[in-house]
Amino acid sequence: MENIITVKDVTFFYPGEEIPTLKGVTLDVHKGEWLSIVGHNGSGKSTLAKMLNGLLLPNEGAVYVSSYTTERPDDIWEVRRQVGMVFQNPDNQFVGTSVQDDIAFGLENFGVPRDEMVKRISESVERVGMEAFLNQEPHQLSGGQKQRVAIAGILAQKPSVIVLDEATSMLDPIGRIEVIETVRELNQKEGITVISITHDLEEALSADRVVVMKMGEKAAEGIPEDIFQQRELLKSAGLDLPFSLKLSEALRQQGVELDKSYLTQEELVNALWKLA
Amino acid sequence: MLQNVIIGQYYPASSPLHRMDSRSKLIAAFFYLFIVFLANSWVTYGLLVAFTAVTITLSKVPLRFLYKGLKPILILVVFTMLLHVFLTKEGELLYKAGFLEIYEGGIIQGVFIAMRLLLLVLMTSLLTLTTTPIDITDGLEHLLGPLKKWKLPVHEFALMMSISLRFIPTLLQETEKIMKAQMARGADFTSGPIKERAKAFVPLLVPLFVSSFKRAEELALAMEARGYRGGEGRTRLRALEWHKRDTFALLLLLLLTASLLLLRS
Amino acid sequence: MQGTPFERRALHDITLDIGDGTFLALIGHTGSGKSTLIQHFNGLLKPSDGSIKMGSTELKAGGKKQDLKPLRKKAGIVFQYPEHQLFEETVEKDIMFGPRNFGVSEEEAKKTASKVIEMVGLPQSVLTKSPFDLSGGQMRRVAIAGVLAMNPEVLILDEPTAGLDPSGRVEIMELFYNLHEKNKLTTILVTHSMEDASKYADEIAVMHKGELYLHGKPSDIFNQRELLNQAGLDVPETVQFLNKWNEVSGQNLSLSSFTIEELAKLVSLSLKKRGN
Repeated sequence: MENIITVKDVTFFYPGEEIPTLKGVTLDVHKGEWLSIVGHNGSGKSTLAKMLNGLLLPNEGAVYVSSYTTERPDDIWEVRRQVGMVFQNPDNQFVGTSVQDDIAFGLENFGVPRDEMVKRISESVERVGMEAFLNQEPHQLSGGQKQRVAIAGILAQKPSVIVLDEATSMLDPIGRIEVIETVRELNQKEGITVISITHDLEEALSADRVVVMKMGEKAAEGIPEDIFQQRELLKSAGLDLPFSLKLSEALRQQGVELDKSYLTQEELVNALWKLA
Repeated sequence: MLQNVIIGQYYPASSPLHRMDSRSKLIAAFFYLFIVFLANSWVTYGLLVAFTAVTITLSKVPLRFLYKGLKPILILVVFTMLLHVFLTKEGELLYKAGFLEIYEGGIIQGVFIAMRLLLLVLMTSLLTLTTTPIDITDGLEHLLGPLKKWKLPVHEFALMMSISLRFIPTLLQETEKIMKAQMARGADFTSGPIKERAKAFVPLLVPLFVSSFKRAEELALAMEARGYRGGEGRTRLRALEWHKRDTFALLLLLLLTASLLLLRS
Repeated sequence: MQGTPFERRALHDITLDIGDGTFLALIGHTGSGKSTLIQHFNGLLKPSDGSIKMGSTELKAGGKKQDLKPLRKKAGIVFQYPEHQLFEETVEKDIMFGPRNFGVSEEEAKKTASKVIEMVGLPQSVLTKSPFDLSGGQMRRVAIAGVLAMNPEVLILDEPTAGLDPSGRVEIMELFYNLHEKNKLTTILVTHSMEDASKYADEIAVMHKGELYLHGKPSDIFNQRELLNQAGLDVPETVQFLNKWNEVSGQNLSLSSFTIEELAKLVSLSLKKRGN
């Protein structure tokens, strides 16, 4: 499988700190996949995210994005164009005074000519379903809508990767669904690679692959079906267990002879029905 | 009270004045500030009043709205007028009572000064009433553009202005939220002696500062992530368009200036 | 705002009795009016029509300006992201802010501070630190301590776990539930989470479009799944699973405490019965 991002033996210290926030992390991100990175607060997952577009640079090791690397100062801008990032707080990343001004911000930075800009704005605002809000001001929008505008701003730059840095953690359930559905469509229909730093269980469950970070190191990596069987690992990563998994275990304690723990309610109901 | 002051407020409407380029409006308003001082006779003041009246009509800002906004300034106008009425001792003596003397010249001077003040306030208000703050910022950035040669941070200044404008509603919401949280803890922002009341604002201001710094930090990071690296090589979405009406408006203003110069005594 | 174009009716004709010692969950989507409602409970907002009675204190519409302090002391509100309200040089001073405003002596307030800091699970040594040197989770606990220090009879919690990771969420909810039980408080929890509501609440009130949409015991509320769905909400996962199981097995089982353990017992029993 083709890799879009390669993180190689990355170690990183915040200035003045003795303990590294990242310790020899190596990670391949496949083109077109949805990769969830989970971990406790302070596990280094957000620091890792900021390595991917050169907002932070490794003390040791290197980060490659297709044929570019954050090591070379000349490459940084191309890396940032290719790897778009949605941050946690919807308000603190909205730069423009209106939706279209905000989407334009990135394009202006990259010197895109105005005619092209107008075209790309109307195209990207449609892809996130915000075309009716072009002239709205940020305080008139909900958190979920602001995050969708942030995504449109990234799309306008024709990125290959979108990094969600806990982008749904401050949203209400409706906003969360809005944002995840929008990104899922971009991932599935347009093949944009998604890297999602998250605490959200449902989101991690539906990822193609999951990476578990722990104390600055990569503790595990794999498909959700495997990762979510490792109860202790998940707990130490500060993640809750999926409902069906918890129920599977509780049922086994009641003496029900389940062959394994199931991840979805449907699978569990079917397995139980076969036992009956 | 505060919402009645109209200088700096925008009145959304679709008028020829609203459609003008912010640059021409800025130039015109600035120019007007000077030519008001050219008037010194009934004819010249009459000309200015007529010009201003036409501009107001073109702006489609309702008179009632303007009047409401001028109210707080009227006191100042009346005060300045009275000052001139009583202190100017020119022309025929009209009235005398004790040390109070009113001359004809005083009355004329008083009326002129009052008109001058009103005209100045009206025209500057019209600028902001018909131009959104962000358009004014854009206009300023363009007009001051040549100063970049002397290393004046014109782009940074304009960006700062537009980010401030963007965050005003956000900070207002935040202020309300923190105020409520402290009131729920028994804080009292509305009563008590002035000194106590000033102290009562500490629990509001400290959290506001803390969160503003956090916002600034996060915003800077987000801007960097989106490829911001200063004004160099940047293109702009917001385009200012200079139309014939802008040239026409400025020519009209030149004509007014010429007439004032000719007609002033 | 009455009589201006900005007037918007946020709440309409709400009648709600909350018994002494009740744990009430107030559920609804953003904009449903739940935050507006709780601000009436301690006079931060005044009703345009109607009245609010809390113990012997009453807040009436259109009444003269009344002293709201007794009401505010009785009902403590923990706002969303309460750590944003911290402002003092030391944690101790910040916690003392509330009691001092209500006329408690300095000495007494100090004693209270050292008591409540334990209640929120932080060591005494935190008292002398600056609140801004603490971690996010600790700051939230300090802010909660600041509300507890007023010794309220009614504790109003506006999404107290917003933005926390799963383990942090459980810890904070357990903290409030223990306080509720031990100090015989009346607790009103504003939440999006049906899971939390089902786990802790004696009563659930559902708000929808500014009106009180449903109110009753959790079991009554969860029986009305269709009505909940119409308000954009759903029953907790335990009930969802049981519904599925009932459908497949043709049974009519029901839960009383909505825990996974109870569900597991119920399902394993029904399996055993069928086995016989």
